[in-house]
Amino acid sequence: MEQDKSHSAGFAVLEFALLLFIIIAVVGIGVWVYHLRNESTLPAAVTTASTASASGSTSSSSTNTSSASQNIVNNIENEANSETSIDQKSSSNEPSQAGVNTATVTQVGDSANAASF
Amino acid sequence: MRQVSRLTSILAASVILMLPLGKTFALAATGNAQTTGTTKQSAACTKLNNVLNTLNNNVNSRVAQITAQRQANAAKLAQNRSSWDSQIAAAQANWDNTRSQEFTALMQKATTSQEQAAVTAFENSIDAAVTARRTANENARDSYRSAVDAAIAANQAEINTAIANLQASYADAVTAAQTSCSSGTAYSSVATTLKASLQQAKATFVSSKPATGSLSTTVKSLAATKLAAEQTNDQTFKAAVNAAQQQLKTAFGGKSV
Repeated sequence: MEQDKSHSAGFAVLEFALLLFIIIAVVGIGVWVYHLRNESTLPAAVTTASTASASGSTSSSSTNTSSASQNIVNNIENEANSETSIDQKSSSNEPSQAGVNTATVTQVGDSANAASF
Repeated sequence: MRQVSRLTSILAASVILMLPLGKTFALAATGNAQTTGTTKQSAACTKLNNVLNTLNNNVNSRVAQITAQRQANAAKLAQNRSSWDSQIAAAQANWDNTRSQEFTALMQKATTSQEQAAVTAFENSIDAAVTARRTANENARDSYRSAVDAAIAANQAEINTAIANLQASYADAVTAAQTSCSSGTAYSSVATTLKASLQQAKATFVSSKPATGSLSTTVKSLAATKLAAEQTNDQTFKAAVNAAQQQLKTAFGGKSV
């Protein structure tokens, strides 16, 4: 009987130690995963912001939508792009407005056939 | 017998009197023939007097068309540039208004005096970068327009010179024909030479006027130069803006504001 009691007590200690190990392992893995998630999220946000800035992105719906300074940067770059667009469109009209029709000038030479003699 | 002798004397006297008259009549007849030939040649030469007027009138009517086209194009060009400037001014005013509101929103995020100073510095840097870009682009536009105007003026001068040379060649050719005709050269020969001279003047004109599309090519090239200058201005502008943004971020402890 005494031997049975000793065995039972030994098993109870072992069960407790096992349970404690499982709890510690689960909590530890949870903390580690949380830590990893935080580490992977932060650089992604930083990278997106710097890419948008360097490429002159004109979109204001980027990761930094809530960033007032980024909106300012996006909009002044939009302004620069729209000015370039106006410049290109307007200057593309000028070649046809610059000179007279070539045929009209060439026809001046046809005056050589105007006189009969 | 005496009567016969008298009759003979009268006849002889008549013959003597008739001889000079005949000669006179013969000379008069020859003169008439020569006069008829000269008159014909002279009439043919007279035709040449109108040739130059006809040529010049024809040239002038075509020059009038060119002048009308130039005036119409100058009006279109002026209108295009006016509309161009208006569009840019309207866009700038719009962006200025937007930026002013955004500056206000940004300043509201600054909670300390240091952050407020950083926002003010950021705003000043952005305004300076925008002004510098606008001024640089305006200079690029002005340079482009001046160059286009100069190219148009040069093209017009080249055309005008070619036309003036054409008319001078016409005048020389007609004068040479008139001189040749007056000196008795057969009219058909004079006419052939004149026709050849006029065709030569036309060929010289065609080869001396500006080549087809040359002005258009020049203007397109100037536009490409302007665009390249504007792209450089944009790069400078973006570098200044990025630097200002980085300084602002640093002032806010690395946070995006």
